Amino acid sequence: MSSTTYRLTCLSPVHIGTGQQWSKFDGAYHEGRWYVVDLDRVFALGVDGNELAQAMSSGAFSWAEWLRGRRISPEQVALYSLPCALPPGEVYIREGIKDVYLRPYIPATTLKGAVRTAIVWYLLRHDEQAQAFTRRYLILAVYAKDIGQIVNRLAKGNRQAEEDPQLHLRAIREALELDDAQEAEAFLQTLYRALGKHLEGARRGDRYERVRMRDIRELGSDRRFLALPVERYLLGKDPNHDLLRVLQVGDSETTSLEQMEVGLVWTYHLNQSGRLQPKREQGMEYKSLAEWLKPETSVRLSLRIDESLLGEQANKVLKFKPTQQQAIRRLPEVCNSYARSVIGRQKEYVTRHHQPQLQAFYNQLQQRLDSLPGGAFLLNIGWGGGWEAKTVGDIVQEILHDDDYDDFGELRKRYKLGENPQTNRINPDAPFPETRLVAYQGAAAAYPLGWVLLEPEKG
Amino acid sequence: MPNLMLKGKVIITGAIEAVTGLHIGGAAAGLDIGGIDNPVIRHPVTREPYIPGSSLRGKMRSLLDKHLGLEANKLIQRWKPAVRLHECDDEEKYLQCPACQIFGVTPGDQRRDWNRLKPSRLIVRDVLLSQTHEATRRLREAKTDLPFTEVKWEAAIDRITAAAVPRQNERVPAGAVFSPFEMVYNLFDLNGTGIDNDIRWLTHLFKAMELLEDDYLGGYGSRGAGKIAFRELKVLFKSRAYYEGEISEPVVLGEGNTLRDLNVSQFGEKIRQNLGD
Ligand SMILES: [Zn+2]
Repeated sequence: MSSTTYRLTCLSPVHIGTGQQWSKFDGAYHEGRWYVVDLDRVFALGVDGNELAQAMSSGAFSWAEWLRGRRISPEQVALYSLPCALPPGEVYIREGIKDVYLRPYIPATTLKGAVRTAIVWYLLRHDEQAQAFTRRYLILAVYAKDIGQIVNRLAKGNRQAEEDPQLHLRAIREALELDDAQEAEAFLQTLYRALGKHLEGARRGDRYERVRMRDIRELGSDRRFLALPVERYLLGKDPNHDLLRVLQVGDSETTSLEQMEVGLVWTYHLNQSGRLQPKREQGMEYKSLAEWLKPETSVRLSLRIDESLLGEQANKVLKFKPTQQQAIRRLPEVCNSYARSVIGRQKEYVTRHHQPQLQAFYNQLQQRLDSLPGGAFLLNIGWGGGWEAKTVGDIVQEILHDDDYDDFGELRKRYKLGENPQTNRINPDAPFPETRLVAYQGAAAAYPLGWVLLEPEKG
Repeated sequence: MPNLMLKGKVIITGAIEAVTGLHIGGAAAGLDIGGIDNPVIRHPVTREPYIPGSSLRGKMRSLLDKHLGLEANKLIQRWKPAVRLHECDDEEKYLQCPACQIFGVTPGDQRRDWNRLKPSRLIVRDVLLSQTHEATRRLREAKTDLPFTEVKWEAAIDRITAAAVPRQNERVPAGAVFSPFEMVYNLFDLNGTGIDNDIRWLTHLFKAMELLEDDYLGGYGSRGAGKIAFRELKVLFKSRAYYEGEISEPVVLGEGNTLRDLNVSQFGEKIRQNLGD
């Protein structure tokens, strides 16, 4: 078992949410700080519950005023407090993760999720067969309803015909207008594999391998799990055979609440004239507040490779390929390769749209990446990194590019990628992703969210 | 006729500290309103989280199997996920196999014909949340979501659409202390062959505890949960003479706050000196 202790340093603000958002009913803003009110402490001061409930039922309720009226200081009733960039007003505050003793930390799940994305990206980037599978799978997912309908029409209510791979092949050819028989067969194989079935088994009449019309229609129907067949193709067919089992990540050590603050995050978008700027529409400002770890916060954590799962004994069952094993063993390189791709694209975007602060940040990040000591790597973690830092979207965009068909546009329509929240429409010609989240320092746009550096500790 | 004589018991007591959050799964509470996806196991009477002896035992066994390079040859759960364990199926190997000797083998199948007794030497008791430790008081006072546990929320992000799936799971927070923890290891003399083997295997038991500290207990281990440490350890030897009332005090084999403090290599000699026969 080889275990490495890393020091993780936040290079930009890092927000890892708890799913909870604080509203004005949860706390008070007072002289530059946000106080989360602990009701137990309020009642311990002898406050009448009915009276408080009455006050809170008013739309104009404010804890700060209510406390002031009773000569109670926010400190007296606070569960905790943090420096806060501005009075929240009606804006919600995203709670940042802390342990039960109110000490912030970075959860293992967050790190592992980011590492997993990098590994999926890396394996897909270097595997043409996997790319071909992904391309065909996504096209099948986009047109799944059409294919299902054709199956339905051809089968005419005959259950056996409905489950016949030959009929599925015809439906695919018709729906996708495929002339090439070999290509159609490849699509059919992809369909079965994406559904976790064996085409050859189905052809032999194995009842466990058969695919029904409903299975086809529902292929990729849940946008929350669209990438799952691709991950299974690259990492293993189920959680038991998943490559990432080999990597054990620990929660980081905790740090103090001093390292946290409530910061402003503004959604930037391209306005009518194509300028990237803070989004304001119909008198509404698209901003939010988040409890984030300040840049330069640093915590330790450990990563471990479970060698026994890569050993000869385990390999009889798990059967990880050499490329997969390599991806785990060369994890820093893999993560940096993904980071380089994300940084390059983001930098290009903010440069094109004249955001000097962000451009400077990405420049520095790129320089840092180019001069990292051995074993160190960059990751983007937590909330706010956006589609580009959380997905393998760039490869998907590439492999769905076709001079004749706009398959990526169709994918965007099917999965509502880059939907205009006002019109609920997708404009496939508009740039995607169209928005970026920008973290502020004081009154100025300063950072993208979520960049961290991991360095192995010596000894 | 096989003859099995108990020569004494080694009793290991102490506490188990959750170094990271601990998730030992219970049944998803279908009847609880607002029940969470992945609850922890709770004691049926006190409703407090606890560590079942079977979980400790099972994990130590599988780690020792792996450490000794023993093949996981026996399928104990066929479906999703398939679970395999090691169990010797050959009597000659079994007689020399620390894992099977310490943890026992399931009776039945082809082993029915083996002509020797196959005692399991180890008993592992359930470990409850400490009622006296400072950590329990702190935990009681902390703002936890459910009694003594935190509900962790996380978002899994789809790697093509970036759509989020919220998930939640319940954990006993890091720092919690479970105690008293107790394991009893029986020393047998089988057919007059002495207890040398049993003493040798005892060191493998401590190895298994060490391996457990380096691995994880319960679920979500590869995502950071389940790191534990054995604390406040005390290892006693109670010989036959003790049980027959000839000696009034058990012999202390070792004591210390961590496994490393115990000096396990000297246990054998101390046991031999105090067999009392
Ligand atoms: Zn064995």
